[in-house]
Amino acid sequence: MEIRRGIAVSEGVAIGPALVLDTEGVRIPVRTVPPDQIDGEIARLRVALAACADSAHRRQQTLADKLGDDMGDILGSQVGLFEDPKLFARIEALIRAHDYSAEYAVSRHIREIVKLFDAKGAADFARNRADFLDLEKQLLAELLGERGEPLSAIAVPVIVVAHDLTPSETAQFDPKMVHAIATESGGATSHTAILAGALEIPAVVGVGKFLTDVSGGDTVIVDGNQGLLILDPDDATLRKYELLRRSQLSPSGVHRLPVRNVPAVTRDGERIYLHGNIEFPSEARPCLDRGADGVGLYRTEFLYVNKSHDPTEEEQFEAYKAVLTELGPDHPVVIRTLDLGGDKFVPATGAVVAEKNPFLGLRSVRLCLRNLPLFKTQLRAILRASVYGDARVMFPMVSTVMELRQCRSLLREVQEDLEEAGIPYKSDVPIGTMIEVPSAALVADVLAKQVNFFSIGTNDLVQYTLAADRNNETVADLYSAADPAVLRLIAMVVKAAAAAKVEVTVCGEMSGEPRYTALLIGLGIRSLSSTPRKIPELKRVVRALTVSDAEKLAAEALRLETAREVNAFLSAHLRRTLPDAEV
Amino acid sequence: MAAHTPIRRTVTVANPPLGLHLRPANAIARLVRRSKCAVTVTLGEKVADGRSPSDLLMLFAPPGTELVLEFTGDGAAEAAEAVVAILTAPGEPDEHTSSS
Repeated sequence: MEIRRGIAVSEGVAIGPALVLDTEGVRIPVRTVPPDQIDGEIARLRVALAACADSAHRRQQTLADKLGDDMGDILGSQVGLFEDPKLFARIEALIRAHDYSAEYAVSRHIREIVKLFDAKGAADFARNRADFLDLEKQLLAELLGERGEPLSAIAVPVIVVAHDLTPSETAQFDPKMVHAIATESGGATSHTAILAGALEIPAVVGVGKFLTDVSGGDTVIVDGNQGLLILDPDDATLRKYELLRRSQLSPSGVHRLPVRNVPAVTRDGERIYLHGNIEFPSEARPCLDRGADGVGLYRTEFLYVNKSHDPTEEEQFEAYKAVLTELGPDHPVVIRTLDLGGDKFVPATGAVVAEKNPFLGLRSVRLCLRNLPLFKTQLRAILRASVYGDARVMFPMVSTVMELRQCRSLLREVQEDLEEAGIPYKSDVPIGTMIEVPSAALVADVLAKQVNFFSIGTNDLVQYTLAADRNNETVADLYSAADPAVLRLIAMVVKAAAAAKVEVTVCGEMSGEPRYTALLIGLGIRSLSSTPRKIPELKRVVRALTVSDAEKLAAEALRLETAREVNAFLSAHLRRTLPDAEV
Repeated sequence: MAAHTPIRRTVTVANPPLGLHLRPANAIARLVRRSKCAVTVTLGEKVADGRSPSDLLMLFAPPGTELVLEFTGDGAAEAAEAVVAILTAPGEPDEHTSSS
């Protein structure tokens, strides 16, 4: 058994067979086969070894012709391994002894050899180790040739393990089949983390190198509460986690639902509005079920991902209408315009030039303002859908007042077009801007004149303020919403908004962490938007505090000098007010 | 026949800088599979079959390691000479690549 520590990004625990996702794609984890198929598996192994030996031979020959026999011999030396009678015999023995599939036996055996190399530790053996891993890759590719399938075709429940997941990969996941995710890289606010939260499956990221220690089909445990990945669990550990798993009524903590039907009101009577962040129309109902006052952030990127064409106005209209209809007239829905770029998606139209520094490049609203047909199509769809509920439109990543003015004038143009065409829309749809770039926070008083509401996107605000890439685990220690610089910016925005009578919501990951709830309320925030499954817990926290205490807490926190001090201070306070809270 | 008496040799691995790695292991395995004799290579408690490159690699023998070789069967003497020559070669082609 091996326990690896990573960053817990989505709570819950899951136990299941690993599905190893690497650059080669999916390895379907068929771990064992029925006894009557054993001979068949051994035959498959024999054929695969012969095929690999054959291609290695041909490679060797080509190289020898080009570079001389010596070089051909060196670079083609894997032939010897594919033809190694003992290697075959050992893998065959594994298949016979455990009813393993050929793939699983190959992977198990090679990983055992690699472990032996690792135990030796010496760099002397690095090349041999690499030779064996390459051997495994070739054999699995050969064996899986007929079984390789797209991610969307996963047919058995699995735990996906990977170096990292791209948004396009995660978007294909079927939450019924993917029970948890563990990745070697990634930080607390990476796209993988956000999506795992939305799918409500446990996830641990930033675990560091572990893929060479796991074979597709191995039983693994993902503990998204403590941030653990457990490889090859022993029986006692399995029993413990099996109990834990069964005690989760659902992976999402819905067992706390008794608070659902009471409002989020502080002990001194202040109403706090708790909204949900959603990504897909299907999340609207679960969001309400958790007691949300509305949708504080409806991400629209999903409409653009994995499409050969950008979404039509009609497709978008249907997606917006669905959520607005579900939420009804009493629950606001903040629709955020396309926020792609950075680690997110690339539009189907308009070639995107590779950028050296994409997070400081052409992304989000900047991209939209340079692609007006794309942008206007989206605004038109939002306005048309606005008659079905309480729609609000929000522009992301605004960094100057000029950008905001351009967005507003485009919106007016679209309104005029609709007017002329006699298409119904709501003329008083509230307009908002995200505050997620320090420049926007610093001129919030100017921006406030242009909008009806602000939404502070703490994920980007933290990364841009501290100049720390949120996906880079090596600088993860710098990235903290508790940093005094971030707190001061938030305080500044709240003040500017209050002076202009503009509403403010916080919609980053920060708003979903109970530790920050009192602080944000104390700073003057009355509306939070988080991943829906956090709402019941946030409501409990809100109902346990008073605004006057929260204000004292915030004043105190603003005097602290480091993120660490702030975090310790806030955690201690939360433990005092609500001893059983998830700190 | 006298050939059934095993021939035993103790060899210090050369093959700088990597020692007994894939290339010499392949060369030994090829040679042994062509000959009619059986070859075992022993390092401490580990015994490798000379026909198997993976066995030989898992001995983990960097330069300077002492190995005990045993050759049994027809052609043992010739095989012994050839295998010892491989293991004591002063280098390998990719460390001083010829221009051919």
